[in-house]
Amino acid sequence: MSQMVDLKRIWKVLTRILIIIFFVTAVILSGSFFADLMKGPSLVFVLLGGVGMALMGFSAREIGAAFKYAAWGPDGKESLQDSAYFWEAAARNFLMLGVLGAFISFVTALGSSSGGLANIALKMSESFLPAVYGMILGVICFVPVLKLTGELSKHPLQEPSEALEKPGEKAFKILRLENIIGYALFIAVVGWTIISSLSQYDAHRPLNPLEVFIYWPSILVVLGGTIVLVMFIGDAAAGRSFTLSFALTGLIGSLMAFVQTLISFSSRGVKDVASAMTFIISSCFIALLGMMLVGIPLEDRTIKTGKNKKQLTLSRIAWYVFPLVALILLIFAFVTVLIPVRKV
Amino acid sequence: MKKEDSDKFEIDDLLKQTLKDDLPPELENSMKKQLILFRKKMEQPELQRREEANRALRRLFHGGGLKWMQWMLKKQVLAPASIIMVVLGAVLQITNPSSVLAESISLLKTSIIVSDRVSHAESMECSIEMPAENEQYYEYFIQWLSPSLTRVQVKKPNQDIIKTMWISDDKITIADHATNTLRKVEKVNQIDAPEFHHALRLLSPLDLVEQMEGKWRLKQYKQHGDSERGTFTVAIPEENTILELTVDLCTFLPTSLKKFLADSNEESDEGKILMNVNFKWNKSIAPQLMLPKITKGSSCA
Repeated sequence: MSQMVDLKRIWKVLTRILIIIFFVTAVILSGSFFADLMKGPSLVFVLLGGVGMALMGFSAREIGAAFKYAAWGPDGKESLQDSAYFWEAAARNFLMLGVLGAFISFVTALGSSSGGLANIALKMSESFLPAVYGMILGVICFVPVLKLTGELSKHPLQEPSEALEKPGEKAFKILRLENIIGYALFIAVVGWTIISSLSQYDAHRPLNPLEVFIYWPSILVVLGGTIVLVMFIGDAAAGRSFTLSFALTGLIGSLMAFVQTLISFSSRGVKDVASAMTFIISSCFIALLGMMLVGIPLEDRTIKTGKNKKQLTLSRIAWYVFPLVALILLIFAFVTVLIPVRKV
Repeated sequence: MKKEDSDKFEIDDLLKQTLKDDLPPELENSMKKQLILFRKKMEQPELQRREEANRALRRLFHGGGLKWMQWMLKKQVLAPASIIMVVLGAVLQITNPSSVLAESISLLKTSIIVSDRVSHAESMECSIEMPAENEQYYEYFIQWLSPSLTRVQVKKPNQDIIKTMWISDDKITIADHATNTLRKVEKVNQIDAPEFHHALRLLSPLDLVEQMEGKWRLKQYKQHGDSERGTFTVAIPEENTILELTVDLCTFLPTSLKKFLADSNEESDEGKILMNVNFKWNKSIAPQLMLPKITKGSSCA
């Protein structure tokens, strides 16, 4: 009987692999339409960044179990909930990495000088590809979440008697080796992408990457605001307050700059529009990076299974709404740069 | 009962009386919690390991070398510092600090506006001087009224006009004022007169836009203080040259264009200017100037 079940599972996995191969072949054979959407470095950035973020927030055992349950089905309800959370986190990570990649590509395209205006506009359009990859990978990771939560709803878990971890226990979450590897990988991927992309910024002037990506007004506002909010919310070690604070300050900062852009459009010059748009781009970038580097990994290590589940609602809003708003603001920046309007 | 046993009971009683279980309830609860925690640790070596690591971390933070960090992390210091950061950031933003990214946006945005304004110009007049070309020293005067009406005049310095070219809908007419002859060609690329060579890239505003969008590598944009002028620096790698395009920021139309060799210092090395172009936009041009005719010794009117 168990042999029959194993055989059935193997067939299931094989069928899925065949479907993926069929899809990939169709994409390759379709010619120029999908060829325009292919950009290797962006895909590598999103994939490697996703691996780094998964390692930052989860142990190797948890990751292995999540893959096992997604492929073969669960064998325990507790681990099933862990796996569902892992896949949700992976989907969120890819989504956020896609948006972060779009920001890096956009800034690079803005400074690219080769090929004239037409080429810069093309590069700016292509800078949204990482966001597309992030969304596709996010949707793929969301499939196991739906599957596993479906299983969970059939056999609901009893709420753990100890719903919240004691503050003392989570104050110092010790990093595992894989977490440290994850941080190193993430920093390496983001750092390498920024440095390598800036090599095409201006062939005649060697640039310090910090000159382009660090805009002091937005850094001061986002970091200062985050620290104030974290102190008010408290419980910094849980990561949730960092995630919320980065998202909120990034959102407030970028929306303020958005209004400044509109005002500059109607009454001031191009220089003021550029300054306001720099603030939008930089504050979204810093807030996203802060969320991904500080808040989310801490949160992933603290919030597991059903614990702190109610607190996840606010975090989820920050995870999904802020990257979406940031992406919309990036589209606004794209349109603003490319439309030849100086004063309304 | 043996004597030994009776002694044990006496000791037990004595101990019970001496160490009575009369601890206050909160102390008793705390002791119980510690006992439970201790049992948990014994049962779960992982927890014990973590607790030890925590203790090590705490020891590290309490070390003398990191006392300044502790001081900095105090709320009394952190709160005002972070508020100062926010205020400073807002003030800096109001003062429009220079930034590479803002410069890039400004450069791109301005060049897109210029490109749009140039492509929508109603008429263009430009005079081209080429001082560096010793033997082939020509001056050009281009009048563009519409895609179907353009006049180009060529002259040598301090001399009369030597050739005039009219471009209209279906024909290109070239007048040689030295020989008093008119010649017609079908397309611009069929013009073989070397005198017109440098003018062919600026025959219309769209030619200028085409170069901006396709060939020019934007390098820098400078706004001259509060004046209504801005200057683009553009590189043309194929020609190893650099262009300086000055723009009127009221109309966003170019007023002048200077071409240098890429390795010359444009501010001090005036001798290396390869081309100097002055533009006039949207001025009324008399339509009769666009009619091909031979006039010997005509001047740039």
